[in-house]
Amino acid sequence: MEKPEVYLMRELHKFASMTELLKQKGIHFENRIIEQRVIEANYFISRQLGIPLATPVFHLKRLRIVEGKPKSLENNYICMDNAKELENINFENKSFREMIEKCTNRKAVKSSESISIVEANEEERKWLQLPDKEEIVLIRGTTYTEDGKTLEYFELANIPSFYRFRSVGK
Amino acid sequence: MNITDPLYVQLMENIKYKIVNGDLKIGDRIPSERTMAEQYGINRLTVRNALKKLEKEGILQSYRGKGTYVMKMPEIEGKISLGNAASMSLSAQIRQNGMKSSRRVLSFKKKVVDNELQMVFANETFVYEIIRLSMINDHPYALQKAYLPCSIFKEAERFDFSNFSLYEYMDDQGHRPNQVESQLRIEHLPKEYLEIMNVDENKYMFLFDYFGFDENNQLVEYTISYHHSEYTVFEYTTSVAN
Repeated sequence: MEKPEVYLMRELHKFASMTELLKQKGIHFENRIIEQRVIEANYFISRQLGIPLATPVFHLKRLRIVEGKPKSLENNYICMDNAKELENINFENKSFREMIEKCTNRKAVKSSESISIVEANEEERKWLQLPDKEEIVLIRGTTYTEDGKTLEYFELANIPSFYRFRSVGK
Repeated sequence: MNITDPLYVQLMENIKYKIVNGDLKIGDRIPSERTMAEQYGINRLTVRNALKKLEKEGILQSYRGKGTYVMKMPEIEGKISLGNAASMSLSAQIRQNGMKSSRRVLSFKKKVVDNELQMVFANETFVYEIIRLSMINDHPYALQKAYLPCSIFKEAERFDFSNFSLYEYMDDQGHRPNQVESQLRIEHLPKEYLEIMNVDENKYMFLFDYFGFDENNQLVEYTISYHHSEYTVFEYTTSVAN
């Protein structure tokens, strides 16, 4: 009998790291580093982070493999002094947010995010092992520190069944 | 909309709400300042202030001697906040940009609670099922199946769900939801709706379902809603609780 597909339920009233969620659920996963380096912010990234064009930013690209299957291709961008030092930090199988907090003393306390359904691009198809024209769920967002400053911009390209979202309120 | 907001803000939000729900359509003429002032028992200057601000936003346009007309759709923000923490909200932004929207009822019936509905309405025998199709520029955009328990809601057969919103009916009956639990996932549309939504069976849709509870914590609504990805982006904020 085929095992039911694993998914993560994001409770929107909790500001949670996906790595921690997976650990809490006892799900076997691997965060494989694809790219980890300082780049110059292009127009789009500079706009998202509110910084001048070509400012050095730290870029991390990881593939999240859950129970042996690629589920999410994740890009994180963070602007900071001494970004170069992050190039040597081990981010494998660790929460990006928690590592950033540990290394830089800057903590994200809020995020604003959007979810859309789009056709996977070439890179996403390659890493997520998808055929042509297949759709993915694109989650994009920005995190902020307590003083309201932008900390990070991220884009997560996910297999559609991997995330569900729940909220409760008035 | 907050009861402590200034009156002109409350009126602005009400007009926007009516446009979003299809009670007022693009091109419709809205009631005159005098009519609204009398209807709501407020100062005519207050009405004028609200209409001027909506004109500035481009939602209304006033023509001397002819009246004030709806010009475009306001952005929808169906915000759900978490009680006192108020630290997050889930908001469906429909990419409209002034396109024409409309809605029609595909079916309405009273049905026996069975199968999947039994898990939701365990103590009910009958529910009203209202299936509606929302369109943007005459293209199907969302399909909604709303279920209301018959033990709480009466004479729904007499209500005009084509021209009035579900919440107006629920308000009328004194059981408008004031707490909502919602879930969002991404799935394919059930086969029976592919044709009416004009989508391919491999296309992913947003499946948004929610449970509405009234002030007595009774379940008064269960709605399953399918949204076309072309017109919809879901937005939300999360934060560390205080």
